[in-house]
Amino acid sequence: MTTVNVIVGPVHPALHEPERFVFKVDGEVVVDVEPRIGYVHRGIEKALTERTFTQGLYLIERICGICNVAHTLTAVQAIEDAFGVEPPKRAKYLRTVVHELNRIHSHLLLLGVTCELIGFDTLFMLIWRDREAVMDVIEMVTGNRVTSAYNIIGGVRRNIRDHEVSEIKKVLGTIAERVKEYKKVFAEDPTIRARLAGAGRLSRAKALALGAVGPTARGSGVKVDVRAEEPYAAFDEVPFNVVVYEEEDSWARLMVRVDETLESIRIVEECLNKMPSGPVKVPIPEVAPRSSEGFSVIEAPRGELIHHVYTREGDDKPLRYRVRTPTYANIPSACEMLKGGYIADIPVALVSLDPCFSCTDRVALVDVGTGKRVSIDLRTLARRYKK
Amino acid sequence: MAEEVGEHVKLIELFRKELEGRFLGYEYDPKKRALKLLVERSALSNAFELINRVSDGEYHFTTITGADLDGDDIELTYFLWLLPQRLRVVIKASTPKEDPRVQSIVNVTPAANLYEREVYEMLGVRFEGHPKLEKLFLPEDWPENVHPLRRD
Repeated sequence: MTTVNVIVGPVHPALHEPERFVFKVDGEVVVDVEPRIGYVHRGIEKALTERTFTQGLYLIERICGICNVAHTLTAVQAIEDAFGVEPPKRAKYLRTVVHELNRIHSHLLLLGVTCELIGFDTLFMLIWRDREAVMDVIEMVTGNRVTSAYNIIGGVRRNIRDHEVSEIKKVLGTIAERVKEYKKVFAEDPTIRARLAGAGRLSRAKALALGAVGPTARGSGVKVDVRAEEPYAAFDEVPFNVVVYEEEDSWARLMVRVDETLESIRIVEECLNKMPSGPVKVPIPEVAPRSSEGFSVIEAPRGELIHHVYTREGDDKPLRYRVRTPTYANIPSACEMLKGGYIADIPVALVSLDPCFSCTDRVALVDVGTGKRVSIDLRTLARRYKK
Repeated sequence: MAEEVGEHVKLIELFRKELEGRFLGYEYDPKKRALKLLVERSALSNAFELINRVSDGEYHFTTITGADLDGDDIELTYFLWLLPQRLRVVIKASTPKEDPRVQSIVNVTPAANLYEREVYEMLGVRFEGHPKLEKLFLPEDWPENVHPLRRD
């Protein structure tokens, strides 16, 4: 028996957390997985202690381009917690709207990427067409497609106008209809099911023990959603369903995202209908009014995200800033779901975590016996095992 | 609501009874439904056994924050979410910078594995009993005993 190490990475563009995995394989079956992360550790936590709270926000939203709103929202909530500031109600609703629009585009992005990875390019094109409409709406509301610096300490940066409300409703109405169509395809298409069902299995017990978060946990039957459990922003006043699938595989994790996209559309519509009037921001002190600590936990598109900040009275910079992102929490689960599966399932299982692949992924195959090293990119690996 | 209020009181009493002098205090934030528990560093492993017992293993381990706050100690903050109790629990312990050692909780809570490694490399806290206390984010050629988030 020849043992082969398959190395995925290190330039493995998962969001802001590139990973390298070394897979020990026996034939086609993955026996063991060893993660190695930190190739683009940027020292942001340290850098944040050298910037004022407001300056820090612009760095924080660059932790992750895709879920930038989730990061700024967590940050402003954590800092408000430490400062003892309460944002106005209208701001909370607006934060929820942009936060959920962010989730819709993020989920659509992942669903599209998955389709492309399994060779369903038409569906990929269709889904990304719809994602683009959401990006346009985000640009209209916040002023920018991606890093928009919309959430600020004490509220949001700008108000929403009436014609924007009707435009959002119109766009989301169309997208809701299309996502329902896509749901049918994901649920019933035999090719998609054959490729995704049973791949990257993660049992409920393991998901819980290894600290899985977000759709990864909910696809394994763990009912955790910060929005429902520890309501923040306007979630205490906007009812929604927590989506849980019991299948424990890649298909379930994708279905969670399909259903959540529909839930998010409903949340945005509900928020727009119930939007309270009033100011969108309150004045905040320039320096920390007290020595304190604050934390905020939210449900980012990829799962539970926590920011934890320490402040010192009279200081305009945080004493310590800590961020724990969802993909980081999901790495042990990723290793677990790949064990016992086929090499061919690696791309599918990894993408079902939503770690944001880009075209530069590289995989190196190393034959331990002969020391021979073959490098291929992850897309070629995926293509080799398509269909 | 009355039932939920009871859950954190029950947990405080259990900690007081089982950890005795090693349980140093608590703080409850009713708005966030978050319970902060202060324990001695020698009681960390016991504290997680208690958490395991009260939740029947149904808890989500969020993360560990390590912080060097300019004093003589490094403060460790463990965040968890108890599913049956629907309670946010924050366990705090501190360890002197002179001798930064605490018990590892990986045998009780496997999810803590990577977080303990992160605190180890960033702040130099040694987690005793960790199965593989190695660097996580820092490059392989990073010098030993240089911990980027230490103030000294």
